Amino acid sequence: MTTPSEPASAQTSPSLTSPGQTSPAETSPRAVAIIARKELVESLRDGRFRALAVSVLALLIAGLVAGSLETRQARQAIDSARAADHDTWVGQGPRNPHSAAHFGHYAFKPRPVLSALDRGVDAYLGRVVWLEAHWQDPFSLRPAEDRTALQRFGDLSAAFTLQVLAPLLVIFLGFAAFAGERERGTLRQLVSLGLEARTLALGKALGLGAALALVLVPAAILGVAVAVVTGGGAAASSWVDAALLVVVYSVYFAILLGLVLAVSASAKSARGALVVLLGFWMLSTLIVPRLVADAAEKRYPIPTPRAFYSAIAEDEARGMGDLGSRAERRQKLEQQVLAEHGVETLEALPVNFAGLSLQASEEHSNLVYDKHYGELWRLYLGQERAHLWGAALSPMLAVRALSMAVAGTDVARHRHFARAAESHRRELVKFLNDDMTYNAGDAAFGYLADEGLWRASPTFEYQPPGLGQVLGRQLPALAWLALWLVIALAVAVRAVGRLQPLPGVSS
Amino acid sequence: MLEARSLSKEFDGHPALTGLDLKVESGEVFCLLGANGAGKTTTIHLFLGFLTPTSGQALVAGTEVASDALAARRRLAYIPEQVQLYPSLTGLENLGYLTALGGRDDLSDAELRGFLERAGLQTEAASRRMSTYSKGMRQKVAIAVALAKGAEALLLDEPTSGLDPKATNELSNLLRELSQEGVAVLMATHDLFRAKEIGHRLGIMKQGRLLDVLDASAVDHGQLEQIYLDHMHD
Amino acid sequence: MILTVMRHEWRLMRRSPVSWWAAGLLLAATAYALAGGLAWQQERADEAVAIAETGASMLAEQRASAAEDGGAVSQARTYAALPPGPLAAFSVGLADLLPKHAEISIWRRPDTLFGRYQLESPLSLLAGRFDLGFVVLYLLPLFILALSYDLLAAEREGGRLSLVLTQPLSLPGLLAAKLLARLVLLTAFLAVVAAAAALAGAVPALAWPRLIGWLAVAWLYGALWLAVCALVAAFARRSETCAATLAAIWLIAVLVIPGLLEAAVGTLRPVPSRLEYVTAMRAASSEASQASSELLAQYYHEHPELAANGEQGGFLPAYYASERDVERRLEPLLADFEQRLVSQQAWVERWRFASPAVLAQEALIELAGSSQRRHRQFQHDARAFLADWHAEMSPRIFLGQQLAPADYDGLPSFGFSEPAVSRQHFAGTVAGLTLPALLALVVAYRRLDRFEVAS
Repeated sequence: MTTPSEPASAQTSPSLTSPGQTSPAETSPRAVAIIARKELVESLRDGRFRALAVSVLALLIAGLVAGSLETRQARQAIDSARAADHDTWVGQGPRNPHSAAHFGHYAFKPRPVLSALDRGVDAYLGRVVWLEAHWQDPFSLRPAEDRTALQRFGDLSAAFTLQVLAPLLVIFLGFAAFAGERERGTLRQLVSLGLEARTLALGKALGLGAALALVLVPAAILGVAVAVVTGGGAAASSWVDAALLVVVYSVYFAILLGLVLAVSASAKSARGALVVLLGFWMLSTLIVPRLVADAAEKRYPIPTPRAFYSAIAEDEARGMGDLGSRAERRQKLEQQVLAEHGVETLEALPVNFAGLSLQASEEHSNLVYDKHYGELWRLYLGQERAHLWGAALSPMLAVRALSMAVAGTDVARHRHFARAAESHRRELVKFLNDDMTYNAGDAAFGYLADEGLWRASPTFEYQPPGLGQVLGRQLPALAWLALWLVIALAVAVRAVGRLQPLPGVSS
Repeated sequence: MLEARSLSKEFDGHPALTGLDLKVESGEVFCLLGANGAGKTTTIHLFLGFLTPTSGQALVAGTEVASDALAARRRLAYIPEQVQLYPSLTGLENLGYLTALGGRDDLSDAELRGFLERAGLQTEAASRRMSTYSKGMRQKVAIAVALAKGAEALLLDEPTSGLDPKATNELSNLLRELSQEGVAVLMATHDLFRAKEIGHRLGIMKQGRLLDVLDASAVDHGQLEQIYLDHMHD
Repeated sequence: MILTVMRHEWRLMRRSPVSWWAAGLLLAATAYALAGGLAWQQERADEAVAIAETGASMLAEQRASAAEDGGAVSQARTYAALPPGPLAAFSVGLADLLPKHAEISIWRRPDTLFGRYQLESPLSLLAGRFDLGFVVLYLLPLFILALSYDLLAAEREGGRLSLVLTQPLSLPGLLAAKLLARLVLLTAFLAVVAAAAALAGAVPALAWPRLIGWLAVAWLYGALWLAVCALVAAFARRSETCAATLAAIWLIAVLVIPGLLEAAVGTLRPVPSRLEYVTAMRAASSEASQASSELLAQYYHEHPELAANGEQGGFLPAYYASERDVERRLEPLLADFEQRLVSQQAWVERWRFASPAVLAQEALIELAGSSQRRHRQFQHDARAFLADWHAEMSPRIFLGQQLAPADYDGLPSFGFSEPAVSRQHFAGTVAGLTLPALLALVVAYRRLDRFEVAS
């Protein structure tokens, strides 16, 4: 799953091999292969590495299987809830269309197939939204609310294991790669054989990458398989998405391997290398994400529910812009409608005024919601961008953003669905108001529509965004990841170039 | 002062020391000679109570080490092959800490400096950090610990390996002085020349057994080397 | 003797850049967490007051306008607000996730009184809080491990241990002195935390026992990690082995076991699908609204005293009667959720002994007042308040009466009954942290007999 080909292409390029050198110091593929093999064998013989590798693989498999089962179950539950909701809607009996609009119906957020691999922020966002007249509701029933405080420790999903735990595997695998050999004095001997440091580094990178691949390749294959199994019929695009995730995580591990080798090559002792790397791990997985969340919260403060909904109520009552208060708006509408139809009284109108008035108030509310929810989404998405600032210190944050986005469990996907659901709500409410306007006659709220109307009402079919659109939004995260890869390779090459074979001397 | 009675030690069934009988009197310098793995270091560690014997006894001033290691250690001082102390502390601070642990927390800095001087450490070095010390200087601090403690017996493990001739000479003189003051010295070494120079008696060890004990004054350097090589070839 | 070693240990720490870095980071993290916690506590307190005031002022306005023709029962609305936990500044726990206010009116049912609160940023919820609880659970053990991972191995590798032990000092004595030196630092650290929190006003007058409990749990948790260091020191020969073993133990205790428990509790004590609940609620609402006139007739039949004025019918009584029917039908479902959540929490409380981190977390958020239990108490109290409200209002709805100005004074009001910390729970935590620590020390002590002083 790692991409050791990166250093390979850099190292075998002729410009890096000193010309005219005929000693065995030349970077020969043979020497690289011998070193890589020795590193692999050594890693596999190391009981601690074996234990750690088996644990990580076991956690990954458990996470994938549990995630797949849970996701399938959730998808089925959503399907049956949708069907039941439709039945209830159709079977609500004769009713005034506006009363039906109040009864409304529910939109159920679909669970993307790849949420089996990465739950993202899914647990902290509601699963359903009530689509009713007058009100744009927030999403409710957040899965996290039904979980205990244990959730605060993390969830052992495949994504968590890959982002947080697997880096430790890379660290334990490689921290002693150079520092350990130097302490044992073997590095001195290797270098005295006429081996170039670069050859050594390339061999080590390949060997350690291979050891890592023994854990990550099975996990990757299983991950793709899980995507197919979980998705059932909808597997076609999940394949591509899952493969893309494999690439993202491969780059992540290549970055980590580069950093680990760089630190090991430049640290004074193996212990020092381990301390530095563990410090980096702690910073990038535990501390920076929290600090960045705080900073994002300060930069884009989310209003309290009280402030948010009272601002909406205020705009509703006063009216947006210069539209005037509720009573004024109603009076204006009345005059306008009477003028349009050239009649004197509401009773003389060929249409039902209550329906028109409801729709007008609905459209005014939509302006209010566009303003406030638009602002709320601006803040959420601002926070999402702010979290990427942390990627400067923690490549994990870039990987997390990409992983969530591709899995379809990020904030942007939620907004995409929320917008679709809201425009459906508006369409549905307008459909019901129009029915009242044109069919209620004088009966107004006494008018009852029947099943025919419920069946004819617009249905909600959600189309998730394509991969291109998803990645288009993730260009900053992709850029961070690419930058980290370049940095990791550069520091690795630099540190190896200055490799100091004698113990007790820092380079 | 130091006595071993049929002292034996096995590591996972492999004998490291077999049936050692040995007495080192106060004021005597006894040198253990032998190849690596002959059991010299094991003997020293048994006297210090770092290891417990598989059978037999190690006694210090009549006290069995295995039953009361602390009492034995109160009389002993130990100079390992590689003296390592706290690198972030000065020589003086290291000495102060170790002597305080030995129960002498009443010593003033001047007194401590006196011990370092007697051990042969230059005065200015006492207030430098240990990380700047050479091997010989670190050894001198360990000797100063022994002096400050007033040890009755001194156990040295390869003290001369890696020392320059001047430092080796100083060590020899110091050990001779101490033995004249009545300190028993047990020293493990590869250095036949130095052993003959300092030691009163010389023990030749091989594969965990004490094969021969010679009186240092009864042999010259050539004879000693011949006897030693003969034993090694058997 | 022990004092000599302790003083020596402190001097070594003062000389080591690693301990300065570690201490600096820990103190910086603590200060940051405390400042953030104080801000959060203040925000929460202000918000709870603001919500309660909004509720009171809404009623006052209605009372004022009710002076002439009486106020409409359907317009009477107020709020119930949950004040922040007594030590909210210490652990955020689940307080950022769960509802903290309820809307009380005749339009609300027990399942709909908490609504429109889910605005908290999902990314912040995902990242978790940088609160003192985080510092204690995650960073404090790492700090302890950084200062204590090589209690004996480094001295042994350096060849110092043999020199030290030629002094009349036993190995267990040396180890005990080293542990004590660190325990004093741990105590000092927590004392500083307590003093800073108290000076910053994070501790309400009546919360002192809770603060002492919180610090005691943090202390025992830190002491347990020290004991684990001692245990590993007694077994491992090399300092790298010590470091790797302790890192693995930390990882397992703080990340893996809690994660596995989280997965297990979801599987073994599942909460029924909320989506099925939505379906049932929709079906009940639909049926009740279709049958609302019969339901209303039935209601008057059962409550003939309310039919006194002879005016039977109208939108409000019919709707109200159908809503009460929905409520009645959903009651068992709601109770089932309640009961499942309780049993989930009970399962976690039984299994919290599997990891000291879980044990400490449960206790810390319980003492801080940010646990699920406290929020369930709030939900319970808010529902009781809603029930009182309905009991007060329903006769008026069916009799078609308005609220006279004086009636507003007699309306039920909300009071939150702060749940006491269970002594049994606390004792369990103390035992769960103390016994393993003692066990580790005993095993370490016995193992030291076989410790090879020289390498």
